Amino acid sequence: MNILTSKDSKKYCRRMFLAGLGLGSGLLPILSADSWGGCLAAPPRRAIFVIWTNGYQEFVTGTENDWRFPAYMNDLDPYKSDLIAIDGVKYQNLIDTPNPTKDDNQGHGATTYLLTGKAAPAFRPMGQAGPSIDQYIAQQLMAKGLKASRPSLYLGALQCYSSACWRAAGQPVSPVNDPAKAFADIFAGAAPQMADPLLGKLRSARKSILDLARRDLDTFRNRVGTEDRKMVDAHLGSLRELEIRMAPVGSLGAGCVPPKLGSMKYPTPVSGDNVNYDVSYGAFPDLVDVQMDIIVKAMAADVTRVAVLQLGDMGNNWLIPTWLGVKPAGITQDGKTESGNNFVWDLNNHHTAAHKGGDMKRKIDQWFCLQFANLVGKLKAEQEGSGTMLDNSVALFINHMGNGGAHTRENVPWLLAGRNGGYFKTGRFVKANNIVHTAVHKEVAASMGVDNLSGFLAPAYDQSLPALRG
Amino acid sequence: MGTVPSIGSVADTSPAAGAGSMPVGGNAPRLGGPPAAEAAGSLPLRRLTAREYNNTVAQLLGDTAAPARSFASDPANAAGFTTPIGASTLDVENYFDAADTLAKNAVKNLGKLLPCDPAKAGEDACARTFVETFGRKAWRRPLEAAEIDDVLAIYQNAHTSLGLDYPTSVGFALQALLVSPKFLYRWEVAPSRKLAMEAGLVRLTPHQVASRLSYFLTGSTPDDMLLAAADANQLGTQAEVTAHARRLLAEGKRAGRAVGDFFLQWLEMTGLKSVGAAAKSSKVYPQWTGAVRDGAAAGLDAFVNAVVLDAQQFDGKLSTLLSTPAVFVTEATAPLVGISGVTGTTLVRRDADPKQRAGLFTQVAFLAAKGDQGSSHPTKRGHVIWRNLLCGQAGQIPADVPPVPVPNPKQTTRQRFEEHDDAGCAVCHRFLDPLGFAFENYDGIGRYQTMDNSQPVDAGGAVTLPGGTKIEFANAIELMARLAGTSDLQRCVVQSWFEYGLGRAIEDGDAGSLTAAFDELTKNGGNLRELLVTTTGSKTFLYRKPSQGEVLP
Repeated sequence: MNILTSKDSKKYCRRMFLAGLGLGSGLLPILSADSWGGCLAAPPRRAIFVIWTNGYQEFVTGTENDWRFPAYMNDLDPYKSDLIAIDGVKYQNLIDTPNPTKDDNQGHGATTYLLTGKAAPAFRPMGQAGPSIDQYIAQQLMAKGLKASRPSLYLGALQCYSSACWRAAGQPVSPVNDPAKAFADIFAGAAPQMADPLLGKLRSARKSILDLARRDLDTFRNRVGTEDRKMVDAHLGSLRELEIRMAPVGSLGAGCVPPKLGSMKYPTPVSGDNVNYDVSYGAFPDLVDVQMDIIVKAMAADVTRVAVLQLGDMGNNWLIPTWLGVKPAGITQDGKTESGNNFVWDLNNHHTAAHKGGDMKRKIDQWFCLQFANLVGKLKAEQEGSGTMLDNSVALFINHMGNGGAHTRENVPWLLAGRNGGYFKTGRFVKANNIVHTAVHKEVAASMGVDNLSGFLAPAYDQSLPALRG
Repeated sequence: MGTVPSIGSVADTSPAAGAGSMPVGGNAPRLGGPPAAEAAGSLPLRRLTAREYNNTVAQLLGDTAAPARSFASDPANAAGFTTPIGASTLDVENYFDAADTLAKNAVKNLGKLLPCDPAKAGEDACARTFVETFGRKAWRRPLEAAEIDDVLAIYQNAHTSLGLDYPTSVGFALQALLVSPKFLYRWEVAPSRKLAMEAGLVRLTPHQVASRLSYFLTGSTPDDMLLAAADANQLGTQAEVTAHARRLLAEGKRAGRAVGDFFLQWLEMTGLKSVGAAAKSSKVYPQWTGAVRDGAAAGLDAFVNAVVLDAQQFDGKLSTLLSTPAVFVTEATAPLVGISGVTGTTLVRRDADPKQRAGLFTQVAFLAAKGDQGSSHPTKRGHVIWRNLLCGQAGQIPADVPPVPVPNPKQTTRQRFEEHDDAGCAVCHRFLDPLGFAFENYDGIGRYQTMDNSQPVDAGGAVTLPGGTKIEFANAIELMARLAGTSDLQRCVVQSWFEYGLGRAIEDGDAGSLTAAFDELTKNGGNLRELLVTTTGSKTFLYRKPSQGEVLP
């Protein structure tokens, strides 16, 4: 446990409780359960990156073709033939990033290095290692002429995470945590019959404002110094992305129809002293589930081909898994009486559990592994041609650390799901011998048809992992 | 705070050698040699913080909905004060959403928003006047003709080309002003304006000075008088600037907001309002209720405001800040400081027992925020004093700090924390803990105590200050009395307030200005109001060094 994680998790998040999520109405969208897969004549390839934190207690054991999960990962058993268990990779770019304060680049500090392929000149300010692989793949696909309505999606849930995604060095992309917003961004106006002439006019007026802001920034850019120019460039990049999001998705693939926005009653939590932790943190599973649906549905209609789902960063100090029966501080738990211990330490949060180890940690990790299993299940439930979406997708399950208690940045287990058009040979346990994590990203990029990684990768980390291939 | 220690007055230039390798310890002066009085530091491009955004739109539009409450929160800069980094997609989207809502609400009362009557002046002419007048306030400088045309074109496109109604179209012009980088960044230099160079430094434009002054002292956009002074080029001399600083400080209310914010950030207490039920043990401290927490937070704000700004009540001196027994209490908080007879939730000023309360660091809010769930927390309290009040260096907290031992009924909190004195922990804790032990007379919610777990409290100790002076004390009140007169503390206060005002950690170029401010503070007996004024009139506040890679005229 360190100050960095406890302090930053407070500083970076203003929207800790649902009340601030923009869901004041108490309604949470749920997507229609109807499968709408199979609407694309020629399914594309896709990549999904799921990020979580605090490391593993135990991982897969066995040989390449005869292997098993530890008990707490058993929810993944039904999908063993769709998975590659990778043991393990190292975050050499994080290790190589100079940092005078040694706690920063321990495993908790991996957030901005998991998806990037370079070391940074310094740990802070964060994000100097960008671009991240999701953004880079999307940029490369667009450069090759892809006309995706949403080049990439970056979704989170409940917490304001430190960014894992960077358009370029110093240019953060933020996750959309509110499913209602994500849904509107992606699907609103997708159906032709929904086109409203007034909406079109309003959109046109907003576009003119955005264009002016961009012109002003361009003028600005010419006057400021090198450091300030990075700020301007970040803003310009964000405006460009916003412009893409403001444009209606337009026509989906022939035969694709947008999912329906449903609603479910959700209790409105109160803030201050009456914060109901069960309600506030208890929203997390539902939010995660809806965000996964949004990613899968958007990909099924080829609205996007690259997505990141962030389920944690740093130490997840904020996350008290109340839905698993874990109680926040001040409430007796496991026969443990109140102590005068450090506030964060005593919160019974995910981070604390990692340091204490044992069954509480396994219980929480089991839930996270179940989420990845659910995502694989959702991809597999969408029929596509003679197979499923999972045949034309790859999903990575990426943790910040190998062992959470020791903050290790090496030998970090990763899970890979899906064959992505036959590129990956699943159903195996691959001993990666602590190879740089960028080797896996390189394979994923190759499976997406992106071979030029010069803008993403430092030459020192340019390695491959052919053992993943079919 | 504390990352670039020392103000580097001439007498203070001890060898800097070895400073870099010491993880903790003295106030290693980095700024060797006589300070260059004619130097100035940098002025990094600054986006409005969420707090500044809310204050600004409230002042411009009278809309107090505080839309930036839902923005992503601003990270701390190297000096520990909130400073936005590059705008993410979410930030930019938030700006558009906020501007959309603000504009929709503003055009509901078009008569109030517009400076003219469109029926008489003509719709287009009135829209133009609005862009010109409101634009000047929003962008904190007059707009050039081409800029007015650009924004007016948004209105015209909406109204004429798209056929949208007049209020909606004016609303789009308003939105354009509010999502413009010219509003969001504190830059205030018109496109065709040439920079004024003096001896290698860039002199800030009058409008930049107005903006810097206003955001420093009020956390908000310049008022009409400041803008008028800038328009008339009356912010060119130190005297002109400091006169406005005095005016804003005397006005009180808006300046109080900024003073309160400074102290919350400086003492790392921005989370004060969330020291809620879960932060304190309901078994040990059933007295810690929402009313106590809110009263304590408001009491701290009232305290720093009154001491620094209210000349009727206080002399504004640093020593008073650290010694006055004054407290601002409600019915809920009065019992915690041993005062009876207060009713209701309105704050009242009382004097507590001077043997028990002395100034800022004996306020309930500080002691509770830097206390533990079920006890005091000497390390948290000592850390703030060492790092932020004395600008002492402390190594980063290592990755695997073991938890503090569970309370033991046979041990005092001090005995429990003294385990730090063993092992490797002592390298930092020998600085931090003695300062924290001084506050052992105050429990985890700030109540005065003489016994801890049935044993007498020992709050005495000794500590070597960052500058090398050794002081001894019997308790917190003695500690504060001794610290108040030290140059360590005075320099750190000057540095911290400069860092807050400049929006960045101090740099070499600030040395002359900081030294002058320190000398002035010494001369006037430690007057904090005057320190704020001095800061605004300093070279490094009114000038800047050119940025690397900047194209100068």
